[in-house]
Amino acid sequence: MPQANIAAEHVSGTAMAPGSGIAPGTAFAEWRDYFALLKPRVMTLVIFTAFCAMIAAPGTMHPFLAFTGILCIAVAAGAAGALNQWYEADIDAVMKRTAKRPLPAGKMGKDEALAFGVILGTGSVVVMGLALNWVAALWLAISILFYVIVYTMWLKRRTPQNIVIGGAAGAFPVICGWAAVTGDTPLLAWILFAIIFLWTPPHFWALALFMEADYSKAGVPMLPVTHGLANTRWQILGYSALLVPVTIAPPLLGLTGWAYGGTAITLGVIFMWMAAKVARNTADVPAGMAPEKQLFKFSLLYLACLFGALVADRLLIPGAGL
Amino acid sequence: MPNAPSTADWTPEQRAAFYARRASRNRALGVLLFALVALFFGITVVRMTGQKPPIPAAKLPPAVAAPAS
Repeated sequence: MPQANIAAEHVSGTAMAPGSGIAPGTAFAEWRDYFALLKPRVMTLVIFTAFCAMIAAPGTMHPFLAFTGILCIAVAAGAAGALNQWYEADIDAVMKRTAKRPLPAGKMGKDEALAFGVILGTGSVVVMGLALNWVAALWLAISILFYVIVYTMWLKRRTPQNIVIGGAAGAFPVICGWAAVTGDTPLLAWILFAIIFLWTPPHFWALALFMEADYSKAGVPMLPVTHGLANTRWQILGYSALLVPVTIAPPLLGLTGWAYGGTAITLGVIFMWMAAKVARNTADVPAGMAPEKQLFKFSLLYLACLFGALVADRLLIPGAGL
Repeated sequence: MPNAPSTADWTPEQRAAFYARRASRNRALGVLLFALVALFFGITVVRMTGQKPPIPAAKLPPAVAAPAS
């Protein structure tokens, strides 16, 4: 998609998609539309990883303040999602997966989405600072700005490595969660950050492989579009080979127990096996991409089990390695 | 943006749909405001009660515990 058209869309303000089934004069966003703007499915993962980081972090916290911290992280993630949709309404409109979002569907004006995102983002950072601490609030602000400015505005449309750098945005919530409890960010917090950072490319590229046509149509330079399917499959294997050793690092460094370590090794072997299956696959149509679909689904389970094991490990052996 | 019909040109169905959407959003806004009040109240209570208890008078220096009148 030509950059000029994209820019024109961004300054045009409210845009009602033709064929949305809503007369422009009667379009009035419902609460469901605002909720959809928060990307609730992405938020689930953010809440889960941040929650696990809060439990893994040494120290205690009043349950209500812990709830407030999680709420702030969730709202900040939602704000980043809203601002992402505000900026990407033009891309979303041409992709089948995203065409029904509130902005491309004409249920909401772009200015509304922008205001909603800015207010939620600012509010979450301020409440985090006042209720918990300003270190956590600082990382929360960085995570929003990183996702919106570095990933959405700068990288996504310019480089096929967009997902690699953008993965950091999804990794910041663990730093926020940890900092909310302790007020600092030690080595284990950054290892958790690195796990999500390195997990993101195999996860999203597996999706991008079988959704390649959609990204190509929208002009987003995802790796399968710019470097081909074979190159993407080998990069998935490469990032998986980097990810697995990092997941095993905490017990080796004495930062967690081997309840977590055993789980990380087991899951890592399965992840590598699935990534190898993807690397060997030569299919170039979605119908033949069963290994990619399996890896995409398993990657979600992988992260959930890994962080679940971290929590279990911490609850079984409180204070281990700290 | 295409020329939007003015509110006077709405059909009864469009008007009803608009009112339903507005009512739904206003209810959600009310719930959200109430939740925010509850959140700030809760934070305030926890932060205030979470402070260290005042030092018992027995542990204070005599001059501070019972200042000369």
